[in-house]
Amino acid sequence: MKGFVYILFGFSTGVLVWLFPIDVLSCPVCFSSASKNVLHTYYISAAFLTLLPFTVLGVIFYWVKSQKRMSHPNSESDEDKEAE
Amino acid sequence: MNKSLLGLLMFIGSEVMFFGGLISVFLILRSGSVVWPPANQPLLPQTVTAINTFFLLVSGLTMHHSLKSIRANKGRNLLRWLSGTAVLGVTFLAIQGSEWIRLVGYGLTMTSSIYGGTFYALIGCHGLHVFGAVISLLFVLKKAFSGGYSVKAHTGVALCTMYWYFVVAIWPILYILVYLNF
Repeated sequence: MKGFVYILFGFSTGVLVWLFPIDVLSCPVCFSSASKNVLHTYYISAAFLTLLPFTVLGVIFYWVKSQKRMSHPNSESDEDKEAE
Repeated sequence: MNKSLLGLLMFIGSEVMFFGGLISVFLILRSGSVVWPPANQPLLPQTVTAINTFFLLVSGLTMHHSLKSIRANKGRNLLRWLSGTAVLGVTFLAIQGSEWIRLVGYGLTMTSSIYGGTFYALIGCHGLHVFGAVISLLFVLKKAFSGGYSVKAHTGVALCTMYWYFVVAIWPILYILVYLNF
C-alpha cells in the first residue's frame, strides 16, 4: 500500500511538472544581457559543451580499439577466416 | 592494453572539458563586450607569442622523436630529443612569464577588467599545465639518464609524450582565440 502511494505521488508530480513547466534560465548573465550576440554565443557554447564529452569518449573508444588491434594484429583476420 | 595510458587519456578527456568550459566563458564574455579588447586595456603581444607558439609546436615534434627513439632502441637519441623538448618547454614558459610581467606593468591584471580576468584564467591555466608537463618531463629525463627505459619498458616516456601532445595541441586554439581575437 505504501509503495503504491509513493508511485502515485511520483506519477502525479511528474504529470504536474509536464503540464505546468517553468522556464529555468541556466545562465542569468546571458539571458539578462541586452545584446543578442551574447545569447547566440551562449547557445553555440552550450551545443559545443554538450557534444564535447561524446567526442572525448569517441576518441578514447577509438584509441582503445586501435591499441587492441595493434596488440593482436591477426585477430580480425582469424575471425574473418572462421566466419568464412 | 596499457592501463596507465588509458588512465591518462581519461584524465586528458577531463582536461579537454575543463578547457572547453573556460573557452566557452571567454567567448560569451567577449561577445557581450562592444569593444574587445576594452579601450583602456593594453593589446596582447601577438608577434612574440607567435614565436613562442612556434617553440611549443617544435617541442611537440621533438617529443614525438623522443618516443620514436626509445621505440627504435636508440637511448642516446632519446636523451637528445628529451633534453631539446625540456629546453623548448622552459623557453616557452620563460617568454610567457616575461610577457606577463610586461602586461602587469601596463595595467593588465586579473582584477583590471573581464578582459584581464579571462586572459589570465585561460592562458594561466595553460601555463600551469605546461609547467606540470615540464616537471614530469624532467622526471622522465632523469630516469632516461640513468638508463631506466628500454624498448619493452618505456611507459613513462609514452605518458609524458601523450600529455605533451595535449598541452601543445590546445595552445594554437588559445592563441587564435585570445591573442588574435578570432
